[in-house]
Amino acid sequence: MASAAPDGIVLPKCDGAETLRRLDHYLDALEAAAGLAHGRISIIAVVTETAKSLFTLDSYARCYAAPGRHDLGRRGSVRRARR
Amino acid sequence: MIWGAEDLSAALGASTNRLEDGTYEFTYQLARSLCLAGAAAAGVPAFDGIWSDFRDTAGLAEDATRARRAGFGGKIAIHPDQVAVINDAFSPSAEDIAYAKRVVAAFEGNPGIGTIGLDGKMLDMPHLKQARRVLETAGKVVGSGAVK
Repeated sequence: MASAAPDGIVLPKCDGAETLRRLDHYLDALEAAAGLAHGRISIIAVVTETAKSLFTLDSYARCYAAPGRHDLGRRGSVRRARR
Repeated sequence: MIWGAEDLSAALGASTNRLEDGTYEFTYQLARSLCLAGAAAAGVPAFDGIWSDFRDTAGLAEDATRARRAGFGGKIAIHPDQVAVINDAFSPSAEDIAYAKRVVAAFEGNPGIGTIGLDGKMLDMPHLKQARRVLETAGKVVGSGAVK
């Protein structure tokens, strides 16, 4: 997947920042293995698809280094989660 | 961040996520609003869910415009024909841009003043923020070549 250098991927049934972080870690490794820039692959998380997810919607605020990390003009996508 | 109603209704054991008039039942409107606020808190755009009837372009345009007014930064498509309609709805119009420029100019022309009058209306900081957001969005959307 990473070797195709996608602009981003959709993460369905995301039920909190922990789930997003796990994918972020996978992508860190996959990007490095494919020789892509770190954080190159964006994530769009679908955040309301499980019962638990409705209780975690404040968790993403702690998942991003700073507001404005996303770039709506580039792809309209949510940029990578950061620790 | 995107919100979605289909898998949620299955997870909750609901037989439908709609009311008799076709609008979303309260639980799904709540999910939509929580997604919007959660994304704003995280500093990322929220995208509205699908408009499933891909032949109903007018309904999609109305739904997308409503979503933009509510604060969503975009909307997901389930058919390629929906992309242009959605891009149009989320792109500030020429009138929006002209007005936003006038708002910003009015505040910049009166430094240090928090409330000013324009066209007989009183404007304060939230209006300035909104005007700047319109101009920022316009610059990015036009710059990306997404719309003419």
